[in-house]
Amino acid sequence: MKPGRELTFDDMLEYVGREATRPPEDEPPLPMGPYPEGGGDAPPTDGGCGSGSCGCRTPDPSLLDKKMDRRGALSMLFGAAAVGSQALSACSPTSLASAEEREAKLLEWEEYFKGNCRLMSEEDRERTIERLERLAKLKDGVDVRIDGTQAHPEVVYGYAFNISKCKGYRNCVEACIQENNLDRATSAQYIRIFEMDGGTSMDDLDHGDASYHHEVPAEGAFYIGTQCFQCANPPCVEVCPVGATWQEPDGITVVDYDWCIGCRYCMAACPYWARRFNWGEPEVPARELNPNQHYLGNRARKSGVVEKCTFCIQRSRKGKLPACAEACPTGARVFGNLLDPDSEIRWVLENKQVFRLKEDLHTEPRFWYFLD
Amino acid sequence: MTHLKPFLVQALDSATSGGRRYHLWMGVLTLIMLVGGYAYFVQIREGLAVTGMTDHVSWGLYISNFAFLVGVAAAAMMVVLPAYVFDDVDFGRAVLMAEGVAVSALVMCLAFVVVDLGNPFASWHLMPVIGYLNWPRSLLAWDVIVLNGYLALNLAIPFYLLYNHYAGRTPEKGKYVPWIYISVFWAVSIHLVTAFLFAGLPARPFWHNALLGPRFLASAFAAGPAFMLLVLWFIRSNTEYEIKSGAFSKLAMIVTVAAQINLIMLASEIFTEFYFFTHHAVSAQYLFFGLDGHSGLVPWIWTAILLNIAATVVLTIHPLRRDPRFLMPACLVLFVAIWTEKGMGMVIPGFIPSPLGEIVEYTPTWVELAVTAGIWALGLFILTVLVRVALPIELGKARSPKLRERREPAEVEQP
Amino acid sequence: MSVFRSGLLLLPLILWGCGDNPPETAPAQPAEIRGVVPEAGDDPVRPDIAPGTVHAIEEAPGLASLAADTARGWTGPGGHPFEVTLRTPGRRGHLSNRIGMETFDLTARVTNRTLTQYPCTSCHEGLVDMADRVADAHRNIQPVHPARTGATCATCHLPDSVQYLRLTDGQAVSMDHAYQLCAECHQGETRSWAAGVHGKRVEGWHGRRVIMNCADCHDPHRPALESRIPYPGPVLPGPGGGPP
Repeated sequence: MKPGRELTFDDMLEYVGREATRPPEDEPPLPMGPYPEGGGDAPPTDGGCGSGSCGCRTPDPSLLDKKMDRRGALSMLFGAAAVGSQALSACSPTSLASAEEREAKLLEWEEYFKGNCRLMSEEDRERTIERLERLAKLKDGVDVRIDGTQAHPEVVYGYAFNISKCKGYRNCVEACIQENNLDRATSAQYIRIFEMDGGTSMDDLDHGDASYHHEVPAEGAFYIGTQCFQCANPPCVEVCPVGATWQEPDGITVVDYDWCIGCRYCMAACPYWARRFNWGEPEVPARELNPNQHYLGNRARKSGVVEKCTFCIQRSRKGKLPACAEACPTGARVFGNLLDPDSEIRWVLENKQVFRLKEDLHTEPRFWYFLD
Repeated sequence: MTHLKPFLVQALDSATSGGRRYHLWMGVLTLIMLVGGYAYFVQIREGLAVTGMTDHVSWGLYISNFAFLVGVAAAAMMVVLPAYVFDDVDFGRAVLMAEGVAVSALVMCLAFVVVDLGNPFASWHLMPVIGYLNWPRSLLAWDVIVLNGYLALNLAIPFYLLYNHYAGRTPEKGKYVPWIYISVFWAVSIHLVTAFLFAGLPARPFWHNALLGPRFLASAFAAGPAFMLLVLWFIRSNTEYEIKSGAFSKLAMIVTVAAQINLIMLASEIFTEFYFFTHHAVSAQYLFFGLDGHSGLVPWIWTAILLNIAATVVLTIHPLRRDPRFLMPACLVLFVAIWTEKGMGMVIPGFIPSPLGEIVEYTPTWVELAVTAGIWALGLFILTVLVRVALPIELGKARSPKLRERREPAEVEQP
Repeated sequence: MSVFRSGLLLLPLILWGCGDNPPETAPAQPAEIRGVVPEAGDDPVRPDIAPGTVHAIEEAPGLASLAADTARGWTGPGGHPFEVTLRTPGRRGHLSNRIGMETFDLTARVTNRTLTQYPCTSCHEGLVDMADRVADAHRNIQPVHPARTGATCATCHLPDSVQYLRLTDGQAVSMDHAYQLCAECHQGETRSWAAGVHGKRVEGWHGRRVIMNCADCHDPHRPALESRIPYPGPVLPGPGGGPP
């Protein structure tokens, strides 16, 4: 597929045909689905990187020309020291440090000294995104596209969950894992679906069972899902000592993974148990990696930092539905713009009887439950 | 500051010379610290996955010890206040030791917070100008400030006093008494702030009650002075440094009253939780009686409560309290009981069950135990060094050599 | 009036005659909402966006190539018209979507399996006696819905042309607009469906509003969703330890 060409219906047909005969794994991204921009990229080059003649990008010279503030100067200093030490060790016969390894070290140092995403200038943000994309290529050999789309001023996201529709299939859970590059080693999941016996109070999750494994829907049971509710008054944001988590203007509470110090105070503060911690280095097999990422969303996390559901910020800010809402086979999940009076979410709020979990805590979740 | 260099030389000398028992003690502490250091290295390498903590119980042994030791640090105030402000002669000689206890407890507190961080290399993000400290909104930011401030105060005041004694001068009251007033309020604040750190979380009903702060203070004023009594008694029976028995009886009285108040508060807490059982009491149910077959903390908490009661009874009976053969074991028992009750018994149940009702229990791993032991060894090491440095100066054995050389009136010099 | 009716009746036939039922182009709707970022305040913790920057939310890219038709007789929230997805011959899962690396079949599981013989005209021409032949020719059809409601084939299908549905007033409706038939009994559900509470919106929360047809999720002959083994649930750490 040539870059720039519009997706046609035939492309989709072709995709469907190919999908039927399972494509080989190393094929370039398919021209279908939510990531058509991926089709326009050059196919990843494999191997032969050590020679230096393979066309790998050298560090952007603009990185060296940037106007220095204090931290910038510090980082350059340390970066230079890192390169220097690398150069020294390169002289010893045992060293195998290649140009890529040195570049990665330099980029890592620059990353270490960068500021809080919220206080960064547009320029700095672009630069760190560039660095992160390059680092992913250098260290893990994957091509990722990290997006930095800002919040739209006329949008505040809201979510509604139809308890009478959910059948407990957990398609949402699976889609969330895939979309958000959740750690496979610890089987991290942002979404919990609770199976509740009929007659149980709908918000009495203590009597629900999230670990069910049998054919669903079970006789007489109903299902209720939880995830981050993107509270309008989020206790988790209040408690962070370094301001590494905050609420975006469109209502999504995000974490700057590179600013988080890992104290886990936010996890203690969340009344909905919506936050997850990377107890070790998270593992996502390269072939399962979702390369379409957002700086505040599903990009690679590191060991020792907190993460959470972001209503799939990488999707929702592009006008798409979050993965859970899209994957739900029962239509139990409604997502949309609360500021748009003609949106479906507003219709739910105006025409259905809704409730939220633990409303007495005054966290004002932007996630409502309703029944048909 | 002409005496600074000899002062430091003298300090180094006092800290490194001693008998065989002293070297053995310091050697054992160093060994434990090395083991702890290795465990921490493992933790850095593998991430916090090597601890027993999970997404469900996201704080464990480290934060439990932190919460407990803040209390020990704050309790130094109970000695400092009467000694400096009311010129209580009994406490006069105990006060430097108390501040030593505070300093070492604070170092342990900070160490426990640091080892609990998932990303300790990013801790520079806490520094106001180059990082971003979310003050005044985050209670943890408050805690960072008050702990470091209290540490600075407790280092500066004793240093000023010791240095002046070393230089053969009388410390000027105008220069240190205002700071002592500040440090007294500061001591209360470090403890209340730490309590508020937990009590400010409506997500965890077990912590979210107004009694948590006062109970923190009561247990701190029992455990802290109890520990100090042990230290002072050890110093008195092993060195020629004389501490008046008045100091012991007054401290013992403080411990007794605080332990009694602590028990009353415990009773009040248990009554509120269980007289009419509500959903908010499930964590307490887990702690005291077990929940759905999970009862990991039940033996611990009842042991702690029984020890607490036993120690309090011994302390309450006057003849027993006045007899060091009963007082000292009672203090030790009380210290251990409050450590269990307030450490494991306060922090862990807050996470069980999780806000969504899932029950995951917590057991510390060897890494956590080793790191914890290492930090305690570090604290005792620092305490020992501080006491060793202070004793010769306070006994008048160590004086600046420059005094003899110059024979100048000390008052002329300004530090 | 009756002339008008018969005209309506003929309309789908005429449309069908035009060939392979080409997807009608949707009425043009604004592809994006635009807004101007207000002046960035002096609060140091707000995003440092240059004042006046225009941010736009694009329409979900998949929508551009989606086969859909404007719904007839129904409007969505705010009285806005919306579109329904079209079933297209020969395609499996026309709304299949890649989420991460997994392909999720977003149309109904039943739909894609049962409509292998679509369009009906490939076998049936003209009048078919549907009453007895269902079991022979369409083993995949389990007539749960008619059995429960006492309906016969001709209650819903146009007797002389099986690929059209028949409303109670005799009007013929193409399969692509089956919701009109469903609405005759399931009024509440259809109202919710049009409002976006029942059923699924495709691709985006913003831009063209395309929602799935009733039969995309419900097998019309056996409408209840099937029970199945769910995707794996959480693994709670056992006693004495965290993750390995």
